[in-house]
Amino acid sequence: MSSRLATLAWEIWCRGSRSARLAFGCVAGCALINLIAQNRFSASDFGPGLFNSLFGLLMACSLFLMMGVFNYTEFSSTREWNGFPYRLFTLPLRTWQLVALPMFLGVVSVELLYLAWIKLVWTHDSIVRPEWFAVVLGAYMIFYQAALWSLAGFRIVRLLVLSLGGVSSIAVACLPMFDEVVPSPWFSETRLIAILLFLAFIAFIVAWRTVARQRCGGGLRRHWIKILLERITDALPRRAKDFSSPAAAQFWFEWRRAGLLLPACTSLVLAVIFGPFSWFCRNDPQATVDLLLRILLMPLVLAFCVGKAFVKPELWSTDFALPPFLAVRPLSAGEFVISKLKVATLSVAATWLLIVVFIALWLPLWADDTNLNGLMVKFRMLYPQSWQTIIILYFAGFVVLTWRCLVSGLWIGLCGNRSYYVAASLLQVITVALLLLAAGILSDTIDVEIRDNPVRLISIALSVTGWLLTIAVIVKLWFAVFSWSKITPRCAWQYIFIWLFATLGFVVLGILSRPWADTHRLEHLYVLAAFLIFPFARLGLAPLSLAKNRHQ
Amino acid sequence: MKKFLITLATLVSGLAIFLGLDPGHYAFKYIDVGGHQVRMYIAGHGGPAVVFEAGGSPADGGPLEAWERVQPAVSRFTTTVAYDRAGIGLSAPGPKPRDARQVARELHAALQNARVAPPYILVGHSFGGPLIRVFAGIYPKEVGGMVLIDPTQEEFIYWNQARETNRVERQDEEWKDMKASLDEAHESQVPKGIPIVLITAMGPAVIPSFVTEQQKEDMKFYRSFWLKFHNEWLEKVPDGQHIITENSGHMVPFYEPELIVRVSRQMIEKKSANPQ
Repeated sequence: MSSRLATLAWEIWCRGSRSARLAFGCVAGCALINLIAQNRFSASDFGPGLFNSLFGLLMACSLFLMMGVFNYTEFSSTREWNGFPYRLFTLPLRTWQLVALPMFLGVVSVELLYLAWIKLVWTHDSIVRPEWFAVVLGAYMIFYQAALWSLAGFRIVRLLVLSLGGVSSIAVACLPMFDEVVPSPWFSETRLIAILLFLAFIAFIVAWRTVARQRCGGGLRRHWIKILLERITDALPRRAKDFSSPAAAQFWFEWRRAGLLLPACTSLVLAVIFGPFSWFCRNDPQATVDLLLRILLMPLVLAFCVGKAFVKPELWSTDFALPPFLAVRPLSAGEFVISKLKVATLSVAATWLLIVVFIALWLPLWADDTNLNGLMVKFRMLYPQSWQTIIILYFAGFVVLTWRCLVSGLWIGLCGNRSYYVAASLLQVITVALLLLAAGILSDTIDVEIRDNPVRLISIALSVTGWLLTIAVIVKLWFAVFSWSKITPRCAWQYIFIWLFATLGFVVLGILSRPWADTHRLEHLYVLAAFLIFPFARLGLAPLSLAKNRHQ
Repeated sequence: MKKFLITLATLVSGLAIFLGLDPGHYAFKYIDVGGHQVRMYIAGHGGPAVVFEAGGSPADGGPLEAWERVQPAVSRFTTTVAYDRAGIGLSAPGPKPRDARQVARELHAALQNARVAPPYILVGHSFGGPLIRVFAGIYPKEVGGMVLIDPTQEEFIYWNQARETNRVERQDEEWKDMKASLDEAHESQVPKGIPIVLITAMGPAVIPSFVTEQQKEDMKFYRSFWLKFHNEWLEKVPDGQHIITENSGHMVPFYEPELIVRVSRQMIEKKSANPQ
């Protein structure tokens, strides 16, 4: 019996070993940073915050990876769903064992991972109530697997249940903290643990029963929902007009496949996180300022994440090769790239429209804008003549940066080589991690220098920044000469003029927004940075990458 | 197109190197004032030299860039000197206490070491007003005139402190230096026979919409006493001229630089016509 269970465990490990290694790799990397820079944390005020953000992000990633490992489902061609692997039903094991083993391994793995984070990384007691979070994580793993197997026939409902389950788990995890504000027996950890364990047991029973039914050839599936959806889709007005050109058809296709994702994610985050949060903090003037900053940064973060998928030839596919369906289209590689750029533009415009609408409703209706008004007064006093222009240009800057996050990786995403793509993504993460590590290691020396020679340190920092920016601008421009000289002149001219116009706008912003007594001559740095914001050099390689991928 | 790209890359690379080199940085001089250096920007030719003293406390005031709208215009007709007091902007910190006499001694040493010959027309904004008065008291023979731009008047500060009965006296070093500097300015003698212009800012011309009615009333109240103390001080000065401007608020060098340029020019012309 044990060998059969071991076979099943080995099967699960083989499927998810790469993700599991990556998850534990995150812990190991962070533990190393913690070990090297641990004693330097207290020396600098900004160090712990910086590292905690990185650790928090990587911890969330590793937990997601672990959830991915125990997403133990397979596509069943007979049932046309992704559910409990049908081929395992032939194993000489009882159904409860088939269900219990992945659940048990899932819980143990997630708890081990969490324990590793607590003991090796969060060694400064940064996480309050670590035991309670361990219970919530374990329970969520059981709910997660129960939902995956029990709702195999309900794709969208399953997706909703999993999302709601995730959000609810976060909310439940926060419940004991309310006990300090509103004392209630329902917020006590003991009672909540009992409830969670009971619910986890129920989830196990439900999963067992449904998998047993599937093993006997049964299983629920609501065909009528699919039929109803198809009827609704048929009844909806469809595009009857022909496309004016193959490029227009490609734009339409790309928008539906990839363009809607960023506005959809933005709407979801606004509705699920920022909307309720802004309401709860409606009487806190400082929260308004903090929240506004986060709302403005949110599209950048989302675009960075969505951009990783957007730059691939097919958004939802894990295959980097250009699908034959697209490869045979009567379009040049340049036109493909242009349609992607146009879709990205529309996507970013829709995203920022949502943000503007949300802010326009939130600030006048339910926000306490006392502190925000105070900041505005100071801002208007600093730039009395140009404050409106600066605000407009800053807004345009945020929009362009969002667009940049979405499209800047096109040249690598379209080349069809997974290794390049993974290496480029890892390089970004490693660069940030190394910079943080260096900051942690050198924090003592930096603090001593700041205390003893502030002028010298500022002078060196500004000089180094200035020269790095200068080199970056020169490299960018000459790389652009190389990449754009291989593109059709008509497309190249259009883009070069767009780049010139946008860069001019950023240069104006750099000059206008410098401090009024610019002792450190920051204006120079702002102007240099302005040349780097709008994507130019690497984007010129995207059509070449796609052409190479198309003919592989 | 390739030619255009190469031209563009060459031009922008040239601009980037120009900005990276920061040519403006080399325009400054670092002058030794007895163990530490102060940053100085000297421009223009001829005399008498106009010396600018920025506002703010002696230890934490504005940098020489505060005069960026005034100095270039004045430099067209005479030598001008703007500098960062020790510990401000890009100047190294100096010895303590940072009172007006210490600041005056350092400025004097800096002018001598930079070979800027007297007489000097001293232009001081806000707290720079009391600072240049102390300088004029210590080195009366080297001062050819003074322009006080909306200066901090010690009597106003004393009056304001007396009004606040529940006030808790600040104990920090910066406040002690400021108080000492105001007392030193009060004791300083104004050199006889030199022209003095005092500009009182009663603006701004357009009050921004975000200023409430209460704030406007408060401003009016304080401004009336600000003007009163300026008037009272100027009555004691024989060659004093009072200019009241309603076109700008306290930051006159920023909002109304042309007024300072005009006054400086008149003072230089007067000094040239009557060297004694």
